[in-house]
Amino acid sequence: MTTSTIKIAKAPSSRWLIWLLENAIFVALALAIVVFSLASPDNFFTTTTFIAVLRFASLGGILVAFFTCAMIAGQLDLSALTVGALGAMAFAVCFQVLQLPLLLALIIALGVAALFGALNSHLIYQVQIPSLVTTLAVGTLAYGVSYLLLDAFGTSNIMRLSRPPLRSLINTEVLGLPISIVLMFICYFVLYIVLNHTKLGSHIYAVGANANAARLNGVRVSSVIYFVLISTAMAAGFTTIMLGGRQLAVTPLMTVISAPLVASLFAGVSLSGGSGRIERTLVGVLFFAVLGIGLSILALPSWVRFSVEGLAFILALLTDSIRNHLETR
Amino acid sequence: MISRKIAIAFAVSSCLAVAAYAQSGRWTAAEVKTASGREGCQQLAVLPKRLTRPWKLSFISPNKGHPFFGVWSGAMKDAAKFYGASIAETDAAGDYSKVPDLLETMLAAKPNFVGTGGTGPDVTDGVAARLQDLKIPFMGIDTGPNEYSPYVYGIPDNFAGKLGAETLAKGVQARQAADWKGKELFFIEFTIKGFPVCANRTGASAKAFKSAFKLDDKHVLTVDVGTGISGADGMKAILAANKNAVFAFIPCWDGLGFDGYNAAKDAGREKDVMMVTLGGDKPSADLLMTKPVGYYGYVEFQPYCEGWGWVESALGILQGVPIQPYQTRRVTTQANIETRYKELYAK
Repeated sequence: MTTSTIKIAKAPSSRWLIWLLENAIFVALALAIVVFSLASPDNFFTTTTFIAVLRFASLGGILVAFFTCAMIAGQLDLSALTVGALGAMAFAVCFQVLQLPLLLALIIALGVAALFGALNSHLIYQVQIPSLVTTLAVGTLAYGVSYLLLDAFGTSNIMRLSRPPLRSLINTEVLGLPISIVLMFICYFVLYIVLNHTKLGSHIYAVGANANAARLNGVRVSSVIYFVLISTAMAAGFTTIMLGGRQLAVTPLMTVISAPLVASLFAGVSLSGGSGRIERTLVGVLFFAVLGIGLSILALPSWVRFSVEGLAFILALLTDSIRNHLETR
Repeated sequence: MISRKIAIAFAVSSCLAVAAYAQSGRWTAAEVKTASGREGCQQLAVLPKRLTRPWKLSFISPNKGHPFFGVWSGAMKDAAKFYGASIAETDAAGDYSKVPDLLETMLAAKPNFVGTGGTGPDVTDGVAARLQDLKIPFMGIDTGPNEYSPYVYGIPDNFAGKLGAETLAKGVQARQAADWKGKELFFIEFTIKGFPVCANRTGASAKAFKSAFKLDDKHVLTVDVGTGISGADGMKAILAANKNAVFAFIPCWDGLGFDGYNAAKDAGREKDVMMVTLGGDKPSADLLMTKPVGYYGYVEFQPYCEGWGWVESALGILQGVPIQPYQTRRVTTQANIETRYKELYAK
């Protein structure tokens, strides 16, 4: 009797806490915008800066969206960044060195990235090696192939990417917004529909929650794993090519995601897989982009900026952990 | 006749007065030297005491947390204040993928001149191309020539590399007369060949050292960290392959040299290496103060003066006055580090 009374008394507060934790990222985003706007009204609270924040969020954001799908399906893809760089290197070889047409070069480069995504999937599903280890190994292989391409076609560390058609494409604006921002919102919209309103989406959640149970219920687990890992690899390749187009060069170390942006994943999805909301990942991406650009504009001492970013990362992890604990209690 | 003489005298004195005013209206080299404090920087542009406009400069720091780049930052603020210009700075904090977006945020303030520095063409080309489109002048620091901007500023790489080799040669000759007598000598270039700045710097070092010691090609080695190998791994591999040899080396920047040096130390071969680094910021000075057996010294790039000079040169370009290239000829070795350390870092 006493125990049940306590449970009944605790339930509303737990629900309230879960609600707060679920929406903490929205509060954090609003708070960050207010703080930076007050700290630097002339530089931060401008249309140009907001577009810059969105643009900074865009390429990493696209990749993080696909990452989210993979994590919901229970796959942690550590190869994405090096596979992305390999895709960009392959693109540079085709487009800049071999002077192939832009579209053809893009198709070949994304094909190379997809191949590595397929290799990940094959090793995980057919050979049954956990995704953490598989993707680490495949990522290292991709890194090696990038340097092979560099040795064969480039100079040390860098391959230039200055042919005009790419730059024109990168600088294209749609409704006054840079194309990368528009693509990011399209990606999130499409993936939101896929995850919440399609059979594939429910299969992704099912595989992430319990792959064996999903298989027994007729879900083709292999197709889901192939889909999430190949699409992540292709997204990584595409976004790194876009970044290379802006910077007019690619390198094997090039990456579209900075460490803090990785934290945005934990706003939308938990490490355990099987649950998560992609719209919250988007808000997480925007929060960490605001934080990144805002701290850079204030040009604060390094220890301040890294501490703030690190604390935000830890808070994102803690929020995820406490929420999971409360939900499963 | 008298009135004519008076008129001539008046005209001459007026000219002299105007000339005197004009002279007093510009900053002199001595004034700049005093204003730049204990560094005593060399003046690169003779600027008027009143700028024609309140120029707005913008700078994207590659990483303010890095000691060398951090000094730039302070010097730029000091110089801008001295000349009555303003400088806005953002910090990429080592995340170079952020630089194009930081540039966009800076453009909101409508700067007259933009710079960044310490990075390769994979970062600066995009920035310079964007600014060329907007017709805003761009000048990098130590970024080398760029096809999207006519302005080049920073360390004279060939000169610095050669000076480093000449300094290192003195140290090696001394060792050859002592514990390195009769030992096979190699020169190692720690570099990134894909970055023109590094290729020029250490390339000049290799050429000068090779010539000074009449080394053949087999005895001039390269550790190119742009090919995926780390400085430490490159050093370990070379040491393992040449167990009885000794090595002189010069890195493109201080930290890269320390990687190699520490690897030699870890392998118990500290006595078999000797380096001169290029840069000479505070961590280098701190290390040299401990007099490690294989650290002969450094060519000091004087980051404070480099940062100060960037502001001066940018304002010179905006004002349309001639600018001089940045020069650094200072070498600090174990022989003079105490004096130099007191000059720069004594409280």
